[in-house]
Order: sequence, then C-alpha cells, then structure tokens
Amino acid sequence: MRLVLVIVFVTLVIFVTNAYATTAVIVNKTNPVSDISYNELKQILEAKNQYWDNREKITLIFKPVASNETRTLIDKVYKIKYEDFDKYWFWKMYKNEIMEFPKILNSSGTINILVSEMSGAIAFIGVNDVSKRGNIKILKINGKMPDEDGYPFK
Amino acid sequence: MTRFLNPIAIVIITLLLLTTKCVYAQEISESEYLQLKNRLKAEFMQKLKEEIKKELIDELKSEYTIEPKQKQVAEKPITTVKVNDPKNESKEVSTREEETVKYTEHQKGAEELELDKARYRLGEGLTFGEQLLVIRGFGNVDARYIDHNVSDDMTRGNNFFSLGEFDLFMTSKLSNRISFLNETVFEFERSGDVEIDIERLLIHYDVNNLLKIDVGKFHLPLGYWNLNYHHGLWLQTTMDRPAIVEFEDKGGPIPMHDTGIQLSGSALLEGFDLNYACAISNGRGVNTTQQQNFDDMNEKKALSLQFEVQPHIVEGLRLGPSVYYDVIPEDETNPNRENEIREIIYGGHIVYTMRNIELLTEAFVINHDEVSGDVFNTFGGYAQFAYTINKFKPYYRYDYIDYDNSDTFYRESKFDFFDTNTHTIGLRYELSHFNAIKFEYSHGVFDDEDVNIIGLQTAFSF
Repeated sequence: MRLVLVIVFVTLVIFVTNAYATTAVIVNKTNPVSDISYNELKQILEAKNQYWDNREKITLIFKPVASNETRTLIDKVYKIKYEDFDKYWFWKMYKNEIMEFPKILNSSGTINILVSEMSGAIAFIGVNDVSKRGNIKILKINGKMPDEDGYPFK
Repeated sequence: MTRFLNPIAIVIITLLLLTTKCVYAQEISESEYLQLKNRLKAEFMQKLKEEIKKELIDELKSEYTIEPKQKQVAEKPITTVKVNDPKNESKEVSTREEETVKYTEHQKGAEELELDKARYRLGEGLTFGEQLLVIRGFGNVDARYIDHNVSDDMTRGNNFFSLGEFDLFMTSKLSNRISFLNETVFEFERSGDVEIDIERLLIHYDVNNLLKIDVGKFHLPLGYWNLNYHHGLWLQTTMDRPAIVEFEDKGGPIPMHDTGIQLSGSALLEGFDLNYACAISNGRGVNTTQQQNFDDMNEKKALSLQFEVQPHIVEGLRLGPSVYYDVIPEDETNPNRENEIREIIYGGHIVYTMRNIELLTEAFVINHDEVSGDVFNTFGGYAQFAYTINKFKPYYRYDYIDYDNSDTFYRESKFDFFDTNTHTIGLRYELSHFNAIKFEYSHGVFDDEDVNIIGLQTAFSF
C-alpha cells in the first residue's frame, strides 16, 4: 500500500513539475500573429527583430532569471550563463542595439495584465499561469501549442 | 457512543437550520435571481480588479522609487483663504486640505497614467523618473612590467601602476523610437592632466528593423571589435584592444570615431541574418589623432560601409567585410605632408561566440595613395581565442601589423608606428559580477626588438 502511495506521489510530482516547466509564449489578442516559427521567436528574443509585422514595437516581458520559465529560455535560446543575462542586455544597450531593457516582473498575474494592456507585448510564463480571462492569447511555435509534442520550451 | 452521535448531530443541524433564515428563504423570480447574480458578479469583478490593480501598483512601486508627492503637499504651510461660492457666500477652506483632495484625485489618475508609462529596469542601470535615463560606468586600474622600452611613447618606466579610463555611459529613451546615447571618457595623461573625451554622442532614430539612424559622434562601422567593445574594458576579455583597432589617441592606425550620420539595420532572411551599417562622416584630420568633431578641413566626406552575415546553420558565427574611404587633408604646417592622401581601408572579420567559446579574427588593409603618386599599404589583424571555465577565462591573442615604413602619413605622426608581432596569453577571473581581474603575459617583436610585458588589470563596471 505504501509503495503504491509513493508511486502515485512521485508521479504527481513529476506531472506537476513538468506542467510548470513548460513555458508559454503569450501576446496581446489584438496581435495578428498566432503561430510563429522558432527562428522568428529567437530573433525577437535576441532583439534582432524589434517590430511586429504591423510596425508595433515589441516589448519583451520576462519573469526573473531565477524562474524556470526564463531559465528555460536562457538554456535553449541565449545559451549563456544565467548570471550573464543582465550583462547580455546591458551590452546590447551599450552597443546601441536596444533602447530599453526588457521588462522583468515577478508576478505572473501582473504579466498577464500587462500583456492584456500592451498591444506589442510578448511574455514568457508558465503555461499554468496563463490567465484564461483577459485580452491575451498563447502563441503556437512551429504550429505547436505548449501541450503538444514537439513544443520547444518544454 | 457513535450510535448516539449521529442522531444528536442531526438534531443540532436541524436546530441550526431552523434558527437561520435559510429555511425561511423566500423563493425569488428568475429575473430577480439574474439581477442578484449580475450584481454579485459585478461586485466580485470590481473587487478583483481593485486587488489586481493594487498588486500591480505595489509591484511597480517596489521597482521604482516614486517621489511621494503627498509629502510636498503635506510640507506646505496651512493657509486659509476665502472662496466665493456661486451664491456669493464666503467660507473658509484649508488650502492644504483642498490640495490633498486634489492630490488624491490626481494620484488616482497618475497611478493609472504611470501604468501606461511605467518604466521597468533590468539589472543595475540607474533610472530616473518618467524619462528613462540609464547611467553606467566603467573603470580599470592596471599594473605593468615591461622589460625594456622601444619607443618614446613608452617612457612611463619599466614598471608602473596606471589609472585606465574612467568611462561614463548614459542613454535615455526620448520616445518609443528616439533615444540619446553618450559615452564620455576621462583619460589620465602622463603630464598629470585629465583629458575629457566625448567618445560617443548621438541621437538614435529607430525607424524599423531595416533602418536605424544615428546622428552625431559614433564608432565607425569598421570591423567587429570597434562596434562591439567600445571603451568599457570590463566587457572585453583582454586587458587591451588589439593593436590594429587601438584608438587613435593611443596610437591606432585606423580611424575608430567620427562625426556624421550612420544608417544601420538588419534583414532577417531565411537561413541567415544580414546586418549592414553605412556612415557618412567628416573623416580624419591631418594626422592619425585628429578627429574632426566640429568641421571638416577639406569638405570631402568619409564613407564607411560594413556588411555582416549571421548564418542560422552555425549559431554564433558572424562574418563580413567592411570598407572605408576618405581623403585626408594636407597639413600646411608640415612640408612633408603638403598633399592630400586618399585613404581606403578594407577589412573583414570572422567571429564565433557560443557558450564558452570566443573566437575573434579580423584583418585590415590600409591603402594610402598620395596625390604625388606614391602608394603605401599597411596590413594588420589579430586572432583571439578564449574559453570560459566557470569563473576563469584563459585566452590567447596574436597581433600583427606590417606598416609601410615610407608611408608619410604614419611617419609624420606623433606616434611611433612599429611593425608588431605579438603573442599574448592571459587569464581573466570574474571576482564578482561586476569586477574582473585579468593577468597576462605578452611577448612582442616591435621593429625587430623583443619586448616582454607582464600585466595585471582590475576592470569593473558600476
């Protein structure tokens, strides 16, 4: 009986942990983009592309570096040390490549609200933290939603 | 015992129900029910909105120091004034109370306004108020031992401490598409003086990904190093810049700064990104150190053009050519420099930076064509490799320059331009997030003379 309980508990923990590890990419509902390729997203994350197709300026919103979501991005896209993330952005500003730093916010609730309010915003939060209300939508990456196989930020 | 508990519990619950209004609840009509439901829903949503707003404001306030305007109001002395109401009746009101009420109303609006215009900051940049201003600085202190000097430029003795550059960098976003950038460097001269150099001063117009316009003084788009490392030594791996891209006032052979207009942008294409930068500027003065920030002596503008390709298939790889064209004015005070010189610089870079690896290579050909018909070519370049292991970053660099010794432009300069052949090995250690210690050994051959240099540098950002 104990063994069964332990197995159930461990399975639940793994399930919950995996669910939180998946990073969803959210944008304002008015954004015409619904599906984005991984390369296009990478260009946005690296601030090479700073404008949406409708000429709206892109505003990057991250959770703090200590969060799973941002660490997933750093591992898979930036490929730098976590502690170098702020240096990475400062260097971009120093090189005159960006005009302002990305926004870093602790609370997923706040991020949801900001994305709802800012038409050019793009944010990266845990898939379970995405608000079902509000003016936001989850972007597909290479045609995949976060719960589908082949989604890059699992 | 449990047999009696259940009936007792049932009796107690029944009594409780009887004493509450639940059992006497009147049936309501469907329309009343819907009205009630909508009212409760509206109240709930209102409360939820207020809570979320409060949370958002608290979070923003924790990230920004918002000057308490309430304080300014509170500090004002209380004065009483007579205010006429519409019925011409006068009554005394407290100005402070009135202002406080006004402030509270204004504050409600202001908070909403600040949500729209809120500025967030990442990392350590110092930011001020509504108009974002970021100020950062760099500095370094060096210690060096040189086994012997080959030049009058190196008469600082054989071993010495030296203050490096004190570099103040500031940038401000003026609107969604316009920003200002300045880099001012305080340089410590051998004479003891402190020279203040405006190294970059520009206004930046961000049109779209394809077109960004810089107007002012900037670093010329010539190669990789000059556009990426600028003056903050903390950002670069090594103690010094490579000899070929050394700054003009440190004896560098290539113009690194200029004043004019620069267009740049990126085309994000299938398979690769294409970056370009193109500048029209005043060009060089009569010698290697003279920068024409105020006017142009010969009215012939310098042109710089650089392309860079970043293939997606090899992440971290950047490569591309650059070219610079200028006509250097004649120097009326120097009989050996009585002719204009046409200068063309061809450059190219291949750079690979990914995870722990840093591989930088650049090469330049500097062509000077005098009106008299003499043509001189100078070749130079460097290759640098570094590998990061935790906080340590060992590195190696090879520097090479081969001057044309008869090139009048370099020969008549205040610096000695030596053929350079230098190997440098070093170790960078990240002492803290904003402070790096660099230790390096160089063996160089300068015009056939061997020189050994040992250096230690602490470079920091604040």
